[in-house]
Amino acid sequence: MSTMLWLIPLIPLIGAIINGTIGPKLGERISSGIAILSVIGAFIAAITVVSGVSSSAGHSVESDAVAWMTVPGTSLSIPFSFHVDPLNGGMLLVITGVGALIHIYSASYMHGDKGFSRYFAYLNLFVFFMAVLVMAGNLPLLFVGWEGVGLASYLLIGFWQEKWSATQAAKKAFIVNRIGDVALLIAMFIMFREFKTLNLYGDSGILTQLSSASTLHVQTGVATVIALLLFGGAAGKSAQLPLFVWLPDAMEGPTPVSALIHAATMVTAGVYLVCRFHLLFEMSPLALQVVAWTGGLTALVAACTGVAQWDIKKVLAYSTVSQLGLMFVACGCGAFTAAMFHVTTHAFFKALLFLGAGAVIHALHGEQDMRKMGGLASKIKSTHLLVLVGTIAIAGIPPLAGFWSKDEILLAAFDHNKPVYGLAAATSALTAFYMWRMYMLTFQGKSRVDEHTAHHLHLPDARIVLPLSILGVLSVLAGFLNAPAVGMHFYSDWLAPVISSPEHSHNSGLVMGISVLVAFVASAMSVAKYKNVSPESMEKSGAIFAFFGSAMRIDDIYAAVVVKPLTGLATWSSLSVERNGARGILRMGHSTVEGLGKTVRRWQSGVVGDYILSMAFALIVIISIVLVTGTRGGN
Amino acid sequence: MNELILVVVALPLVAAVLASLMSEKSTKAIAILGSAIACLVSIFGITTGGNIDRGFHHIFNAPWLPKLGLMFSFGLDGMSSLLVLLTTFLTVVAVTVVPAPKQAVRGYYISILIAGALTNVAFASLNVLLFYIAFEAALIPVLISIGMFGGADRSKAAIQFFVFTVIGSLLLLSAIIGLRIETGTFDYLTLKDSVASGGVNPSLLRWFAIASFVAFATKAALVPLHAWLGRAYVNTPTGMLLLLSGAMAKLGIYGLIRFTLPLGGEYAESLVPLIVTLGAVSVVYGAAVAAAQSDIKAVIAFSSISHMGYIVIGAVVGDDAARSGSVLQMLNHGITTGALFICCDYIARFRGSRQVADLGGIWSDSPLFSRLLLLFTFSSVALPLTNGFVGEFLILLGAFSQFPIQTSVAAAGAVGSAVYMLWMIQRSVYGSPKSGTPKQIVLGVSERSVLLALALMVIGIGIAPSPLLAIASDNGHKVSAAMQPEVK
Amino acid sequence: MSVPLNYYIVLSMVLFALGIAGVTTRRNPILIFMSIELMLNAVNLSLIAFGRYLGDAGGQMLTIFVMAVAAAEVSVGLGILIAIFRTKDNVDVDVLNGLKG
Repeated sequence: MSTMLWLIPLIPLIGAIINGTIGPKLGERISSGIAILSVIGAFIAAITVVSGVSSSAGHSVESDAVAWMTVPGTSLSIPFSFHVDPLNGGMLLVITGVGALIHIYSASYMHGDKGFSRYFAYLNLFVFFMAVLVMAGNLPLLFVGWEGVGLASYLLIGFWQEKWSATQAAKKAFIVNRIGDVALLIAMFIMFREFKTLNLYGDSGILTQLSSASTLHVQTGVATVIALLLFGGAAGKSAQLPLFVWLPDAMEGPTPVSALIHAATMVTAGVYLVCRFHLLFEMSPLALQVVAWTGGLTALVAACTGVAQWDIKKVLAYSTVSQLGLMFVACGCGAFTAAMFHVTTHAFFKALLFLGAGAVIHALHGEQDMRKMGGLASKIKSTHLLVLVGTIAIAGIPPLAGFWSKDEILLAAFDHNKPVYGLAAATSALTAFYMWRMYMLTFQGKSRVDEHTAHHLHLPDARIVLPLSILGVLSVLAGFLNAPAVGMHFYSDWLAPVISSPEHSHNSGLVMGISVLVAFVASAMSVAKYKNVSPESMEKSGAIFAFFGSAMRIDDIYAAVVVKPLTGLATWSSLSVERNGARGILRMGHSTVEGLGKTVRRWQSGVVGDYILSMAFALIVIISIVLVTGTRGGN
Repeated sequence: MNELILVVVALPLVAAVLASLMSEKSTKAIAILGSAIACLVSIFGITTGGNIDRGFHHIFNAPWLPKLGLMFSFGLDGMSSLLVLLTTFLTVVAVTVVPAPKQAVRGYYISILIAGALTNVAFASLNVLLFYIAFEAALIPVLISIGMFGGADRSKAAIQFFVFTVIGSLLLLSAIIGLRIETGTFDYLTLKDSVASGGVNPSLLRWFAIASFVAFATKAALVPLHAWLGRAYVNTPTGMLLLLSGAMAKLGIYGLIRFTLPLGGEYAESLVPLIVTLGAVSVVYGAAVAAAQSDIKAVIAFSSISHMGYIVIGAVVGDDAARSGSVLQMLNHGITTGALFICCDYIARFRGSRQVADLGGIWSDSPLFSRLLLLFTFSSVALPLTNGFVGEFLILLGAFSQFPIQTSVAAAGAVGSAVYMLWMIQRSVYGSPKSGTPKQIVLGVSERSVLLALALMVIGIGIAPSPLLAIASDNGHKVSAAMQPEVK
Repeated sequence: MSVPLNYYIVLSMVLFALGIAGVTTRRNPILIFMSIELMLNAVNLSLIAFGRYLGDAGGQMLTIFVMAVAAAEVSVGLGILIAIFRTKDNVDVDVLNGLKG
């Protein structure tokens, strides 16, 4: 079993190494074949491990520890060790499973790109780091995965390096993520100080210490600080306020990347982190409040922004930010099971939507503007049908997956935090609205596609349709993994060893009713509004629309409040301090010496008589001193 | 093999003499051969071990000027073993990867060989005066190198460099002489014992602590004593720069660990918070200045200030993990920054400019080179699984419990390093070439193999740092024990 | 009868002062040399006088050394002087201030 744990990250790593070194010589077929098979291999290993988890005694599987950082003479020994329990086991299945589907899809999508094998090397590298992140048995190893997925994300967003905007977005993603990473790093340091270890599991592991409340001596204040710092890290990775600005820009990368990294897996790492440390968050009501409010506000802001986008990928990007916000609402309301469940269902339907959008973009030769789409339903039928499924799922219409997972979140918010519930409910309504808007603009109405493209549509091949179909089926059915209303709670039972299930709420019926009503009304409004939208009405947009469209100008605020002062600081330190300050010290020294020299040089007249006079004078002075003091030379 | 250090020092010197006698064509071959044998000998010798005295092995003693107390006394502990290895290795790299300037091939190689040998003397010396002499003498070949083969601004760079380091060093010399007058010896181990037993005048120790701190902090380019660094690094020819930034600047950190803290007594301990704060300031300030540069060599030069800030923090906090991380990070900085400087040199050579405004699109015509450059960049950014992460992580982890605020500030510097390094990569490697037909960066066999070896080290140390940490901590433990006499 | 020591000393002082005055005021190097000779001889005189007074032959010995050195000095000095005259066409010491700082 231990070997299987190692295989999960290592197989994709080997794939990445092969593709990264000799990939270009292999040709597309072998290159993509290696990449796909390595992820499928990891998926099979993950299934084996996860099935072992349920049968094992402690509901968890540990790998052997292999030395990594060991400092002799100190207690510090940080190994490579992996741990799988129900919480990260579920994540692993999603990562490798959805990852495999997206690899298959990519083989068709990236066909003909000159960086084909490089792309698959990066993608495999991502799966490796993501597996390390969720399976890590200690915090530094988690951090390896945490920064590693950031690296993979950086490389893939900037995959088309000739494009300035792509490299710009890649850089932005990495830097903004780094801000969160620093928070995580500091949280790690404090935890090391408090818990005297960096291991997560095992007898003295941090999570074990947290679970035995009687012996725990960590104060609430410290717990709050750690929890907030952890959430800072999560906010960077999972694109929450105020660090969400990188995610919309990340859409510069190839679309399958957006589906895998920036929708299904990497961005949910923050939610995973908070759930992993849910015991710590539960110690601090303040931290939970912060998480809930940040999530709620992010969800609403991003949803408002999503309504005002024309770029099909931007709609989905803001939608992802918004859905991640809902997951944090769940965390903040103590419903960690609901959060993880939404992570799972969201991975299915958001990957489906992104890949569907990718298929549309592919069909239209790279066109992403919804104003130049429309009426595609009859032309790319399979894609249309699957995107429709995804739209229904995310809009929260029963009985598809999104309804069940979102309902759990709304219920938890209703029970614990009414104002945040308001934010979340508004978000749900807006979600339904903008998703139907996207669907209608893309597939219904009159075609606004230009003549040439319309006649030469790239129709999706099997490698595109197959992953979409599987995701479509999952989007329909996954909700029933955890649908208490119809008596199904497989998922909360599965997580029970790690996260205790919440007690049954009596508001369930009320909240569900409101949700269904809101979803239907918002969907209907959207369909009605965009049914026969005219091209002219799209061109004019009001000030409010523009304001929301630019994500409430947060990028501009950042530029003014953060980037500009920091650039100023850098320039100032380089030009003023460095040149005038530090080198000024040097210059001061040299001008003192020079000034002294200027004074003394006058004595050196060059006239022999002057020298002799001064010698005679000196002689007189010396002799008189000797005479006056009576000192005698010699003996 | 107790004469290890003599052999390691003598080989490059012999090579230098031979090079001055033989024809100019064979200079490079002789330099490579001499330094490579020295490197192999040092690896072999350090792994086999020698006689041991108070935590130091390979002890060797021979008189030079015994009346002055000047002895050839050498000995290695974990830290100096690693630094000697680093220096011998960097010497090989320095003479291999970068072609010498056409006008003075001989002088170029000879100055590198001598600089490396003298740096090794300083690292291995157990005689304080001998250390001082080597510490100072190693500057001479660097100054000659800057003055003869340096960049456009070379004379100014050489003068600033000289003035700055010499002022610090003279303070150090006065303190060393003071110690000799008080205790009657220049022998390091004896001095350490008598300081630890409290037999030395405290005000003298106080002066020693201050003077040696100024000297070593200048060498390590700790803000605000870093002013020489920018101009000197940018104008130093690449081969010598590898030694200057990779090995000689480490003499500053080495001096802090070896001399300032153990010989400075209680007063040196009380300086620690100040040094840590300056280290954190260096991290942030170096990043800020690096971010405002337009010359890629200057970016990396100023990034050194930032990296040295981390190393200084780890060196002084008195935590074993941080100390070991700091020693390891000295090695890492030598490898990574050296590799980046080499890359700069290649870019300048093939593209004719180091200004980011003139660069771009390197990836599209030199894929292997760009991948390696990207790897070194991420090592510099301290990405996990590269060597940079292990060092920085251990330093910050060890320092945090004592200095949470300074450590947090230093940790935040990680954002800064991402900003300037990725900016540089974006402008120079990505995008499309700016002007004219781009010249492919062609790597020769030796150049390619050295870069690949460096790349393997970056990843190898990132994944399996434990053997090196074991060597490094050997030192850390002994030195901290010496700082607390009651433990003895 | 012998001349008292004081007489020698006073004479020596006068000669020395004359020499200093000559060196500082004259601009012709030949005359400066002569004044220097005067000063040297003043010293010589006092050396011999003290030697005689103390009954020590060292004074006379030193005087011979001084005379030898003075002769060497004058010959070297004159040589330099001629070289200067050849190149500069001038030997006025007030004009020859090439070492002015």
